[in-house]
Amino acid sequence: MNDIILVVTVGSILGMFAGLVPGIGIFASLIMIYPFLLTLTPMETIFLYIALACATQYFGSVTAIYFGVPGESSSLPAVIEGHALYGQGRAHEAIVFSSIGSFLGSFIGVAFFCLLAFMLSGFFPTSLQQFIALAVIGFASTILIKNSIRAKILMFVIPLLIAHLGMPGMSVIPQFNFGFDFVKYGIHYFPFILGLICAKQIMFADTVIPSNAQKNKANPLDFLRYKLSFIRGSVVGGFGGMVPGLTTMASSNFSYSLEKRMSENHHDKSMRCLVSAETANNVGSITQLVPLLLFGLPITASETVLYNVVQSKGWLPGSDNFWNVLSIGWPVLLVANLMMLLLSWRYAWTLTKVIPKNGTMFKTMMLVICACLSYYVGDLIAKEGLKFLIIFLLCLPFAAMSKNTNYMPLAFWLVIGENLLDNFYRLIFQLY
Amino acid sequence: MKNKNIVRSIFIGLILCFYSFTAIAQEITMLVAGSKTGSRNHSAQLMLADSKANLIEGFELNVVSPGDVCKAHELVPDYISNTPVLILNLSRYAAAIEAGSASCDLYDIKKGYPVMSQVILNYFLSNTGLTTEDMHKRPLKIGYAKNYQILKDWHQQIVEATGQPHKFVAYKGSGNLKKGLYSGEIDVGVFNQLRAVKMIKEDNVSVLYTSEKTSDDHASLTDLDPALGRNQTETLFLFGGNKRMAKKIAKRLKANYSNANGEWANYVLTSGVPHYFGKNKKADFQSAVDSWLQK
Repeated sequence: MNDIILVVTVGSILGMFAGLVPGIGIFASLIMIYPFLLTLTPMETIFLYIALACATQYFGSVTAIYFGVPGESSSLPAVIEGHALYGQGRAHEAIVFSSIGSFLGSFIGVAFFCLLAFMLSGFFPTSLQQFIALAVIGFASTILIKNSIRAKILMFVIPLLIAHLGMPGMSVIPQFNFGFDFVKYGIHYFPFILGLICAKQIMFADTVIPSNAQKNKANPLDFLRYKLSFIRGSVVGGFGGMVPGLTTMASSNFSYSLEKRMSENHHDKSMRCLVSAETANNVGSITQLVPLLLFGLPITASETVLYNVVQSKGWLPGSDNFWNVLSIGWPVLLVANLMMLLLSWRYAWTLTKVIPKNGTMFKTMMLVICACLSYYVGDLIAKEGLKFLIIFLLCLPFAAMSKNTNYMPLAFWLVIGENLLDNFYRLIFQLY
Repeated sequence: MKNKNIVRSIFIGLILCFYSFTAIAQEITMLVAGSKTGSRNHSAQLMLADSKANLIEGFELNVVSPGDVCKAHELVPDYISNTPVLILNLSRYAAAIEAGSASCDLYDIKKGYPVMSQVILNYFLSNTGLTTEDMHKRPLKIGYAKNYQILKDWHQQIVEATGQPHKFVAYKGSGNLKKGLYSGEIDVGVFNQLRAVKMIKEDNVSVLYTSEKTSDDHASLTDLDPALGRNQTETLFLFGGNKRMAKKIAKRLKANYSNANGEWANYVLTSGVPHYFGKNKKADFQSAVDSWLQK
């Protein structure tokens, strides 16, 4: 239990940082602590991820409301409506209501999850079902995420070619190492995603322009005025969280669009939209784990990394595992969510002080840390530090030249490629 | 007086040195020579949990799981330069090397000190209530955790002995194999004893055959033909350390196992796998290799 408390605390603090600082989202922060993840048990890793995902949603909206800059990709409705409320002098009210929505939303998410786990208990996908599901998830996220057609095709083809490199010699799958020693056992995904996604997010992170604090004046009971927005956000968020590739972004944007339409002529439209979107993204941050924890089907790039890590520790998906996770962790998650609610309620403005003022220096420092990290992780997992560093450095120019390209689908295919091919070749050569 | 002080300082210094050496745990890297979802990785993770809980007192275990047997063995020299290395090696690999059917050169196990052995049999399990007779009545899809070519000869022998053209399906690790069996895409799964006994107890699966005779009267492949029997041993080898260290680790693991005070001990005890700590380890391993080489 102590270990769970420790990892939830680490996940919450990290999530707070990831939410507040533009450019460091869930994915980047997960990659930055990759060496730490390798030291945790599967259960601890899952808890750290849940705490990280929840905390990011709480604090992403703080940066969005105060500065009009999205702390997290799902904070876009908070940028539009929340920052408008800031302009009306209602920033604290906006933060408190979105935090209450996030708090309650987390538990609606857990309830949603329990219901699905109960209904789908004992179901194991076959290789064919798993292959189709992974392919559909991969293609859906590739298509849904905004990129040029050429980029979309390359992001699917290149990772699958890389996944073929050096497939295990004793398998039935053909080997593709072309006599090169450095691809004998394939190429790990870590330096690619560190270089193409994390480094790019850091390079192009928005800069925060200082603004003024506003006095506290929110009455929490006023949240009841937005109960219908909260309910709508919960339902939409629950399903939106399971949209491949988009998850919390889909949750918050779908519920925002719905709420906007439903509150067309309402005098308090902005607050209603904000509450709905912020509730939805927290519900979504929990329900996005349904396919992963129950069937081993990751639906976002960060989940593929999580899956890869927990799988390497002998963890297997299934509803039994889920009940174990829940029975041990629910009190810790409750306390962690309560703490985040209180922190964002009372100290939101104070916490914004962690956002670095000197953007260029911060970005340079983070890129140097990424370079060191690529070497360290390479050395740690396969004594291939130099190889990892070279790949990371080679990825940097591509990251710098492609500001408008979203590399998340590439990360998804890179991490999931080996699993996908394993299922594919088993189906082709052995099962049928 | 001066001499007395010097002697006292040396004495205190020695005590401090002694304590500093004993207090700092010796770091050991455990390289998992198997798939990430397999039972060897599972055992290694349980040992890691015990090491974190200070149940393998004096040693700090660090598990590296490259997900591939060949790669794990190839990494041994790199890790030995920093820490001693532990590898849980299967007699089947050693047999594959002797038979010339291994797909890569494994690190020479003769350079290592054996720490502990466990004899592991193979169980043919069904999730749909199939019986031993079904293996002889119709062709089945039989899943196994993929490995060396040496298995192919065995599979061919099983096909001939049962008179049915069974199809063997390879999975990456016994975890994936279990999912394959429970999803219904294969009829039978070949599991090692560590997974099988637990599955029989908890999931009510039926046993079609075991690879060797067991005390619980399951049909054994040796009943069909003695040459089909396969005695398999997993031996934990220490590389880059010394004999005393190997003995010490064995002692710690044995204490954990005897008192059942750790995750690993609990797992292997509930799985009912006999463990050997002591002189007969090498002999067991060699006899298991010979068993795999029989034709």
